[in-house]
Amino acid sequence: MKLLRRGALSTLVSKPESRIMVSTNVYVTIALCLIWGLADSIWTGTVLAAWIFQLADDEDGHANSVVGMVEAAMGLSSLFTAIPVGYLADKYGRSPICKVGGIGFLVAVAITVYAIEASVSTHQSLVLLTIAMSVWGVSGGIFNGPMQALFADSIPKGDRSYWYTALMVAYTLPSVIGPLVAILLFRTYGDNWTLDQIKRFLLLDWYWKFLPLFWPSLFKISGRY
Amino acid sequence: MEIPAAFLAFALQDKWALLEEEEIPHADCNESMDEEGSVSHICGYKVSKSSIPYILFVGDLLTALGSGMTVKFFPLFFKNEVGLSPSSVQAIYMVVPLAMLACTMLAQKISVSFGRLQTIIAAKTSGIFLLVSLALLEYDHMKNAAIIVPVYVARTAIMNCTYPLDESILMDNVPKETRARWKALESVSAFGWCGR
Repeated sequence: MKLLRRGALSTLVSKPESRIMVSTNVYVTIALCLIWGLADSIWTGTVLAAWIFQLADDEDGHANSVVGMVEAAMGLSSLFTAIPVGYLADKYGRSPICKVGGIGFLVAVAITVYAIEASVSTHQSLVLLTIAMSVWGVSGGIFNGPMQALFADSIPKGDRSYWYTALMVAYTLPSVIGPLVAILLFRTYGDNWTLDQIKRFLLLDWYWKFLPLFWPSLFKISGRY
Repeated sequence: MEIPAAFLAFALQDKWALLEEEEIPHADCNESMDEEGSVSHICGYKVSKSSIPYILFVGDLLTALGSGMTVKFFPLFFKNEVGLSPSSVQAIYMVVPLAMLACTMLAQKISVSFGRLQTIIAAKTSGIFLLVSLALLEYDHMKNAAIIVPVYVARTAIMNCTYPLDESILMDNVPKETRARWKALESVSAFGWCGR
């Protein structure tokens, strides 16, 4: 965030002439993308697909279709939620809808942790993961549209390509860390595609998800204009 | 990670958004408009402002449906077909974001000189060409990682680098009171794509 405020990004991309200070909504959205970029790179990328594949392979051997179905649960639930929610956000305001989405994310975290850590059968794990992915989808469907509309609402026309580039940098840059941690872990414990290896990686991720709870400075972003 | 993100969701406020009249065009609006602002002149063609979001949506949907059938299964392709180890696959996914960032910044710079739409068309055309190359390599049983991986990295970086330009054009051309709806429509594309 400090880098963005000091205009470090502007040396790499074409900066709008008029401003580097924008609404707080812009900085909050960039902070959110920074966190999501890191989280997504760790668990929703390669390792989640491989984890579901291995689980499903042990269960009935139709692993590829199960990966597709679990991932589709997320997309489908997001699809059915997003469109009516987009209408509601336009009519009643974006921020109340964003708050509902935030609550949904907390529920999704709880179900996902339970699906991975609980001592249940392979079939139950897959069912729980499908439910968890559906809740992620619903929450994302509720939150993403209004958040991005609010982001666009908070930037003057003509400056948007610059701030959308900043948003993409914030999302993409931390996503390098997930694969880096995975490489270190696989190199340390054995570089092979076994269920134990993948599980170790997923659990490490879920343990460190709790660390930022003790990082209160995130909640003090200020400086409207 | 998702927990602070969930709490940050409560920090967003409608009152911090700009009013419609505060959205004064300048800087990257190099696509010209008529006096009433209802017609844009893009790449020499007259396009009504109201049709721009629909054109973007259809393009986005077609791209998403096409890449949705492949992108999610690339990790498994590298694992099962190319025979890469877990750490090698992770190394690919470490390089991809860096390549994407470089391309994104380059695309934004190019767009200032040549126009946002021109930049998007050039990038998407190059991305499709690289995807076809990847398919032809696989078809010819050339599963050599030294060839397939650089092509995959370049394809992913170039196809995804135009997101800021796409979004800025969309948001510049939809009324403030319908923006959440248009963003929600992206979920249709996201479903076709089935996530990143």
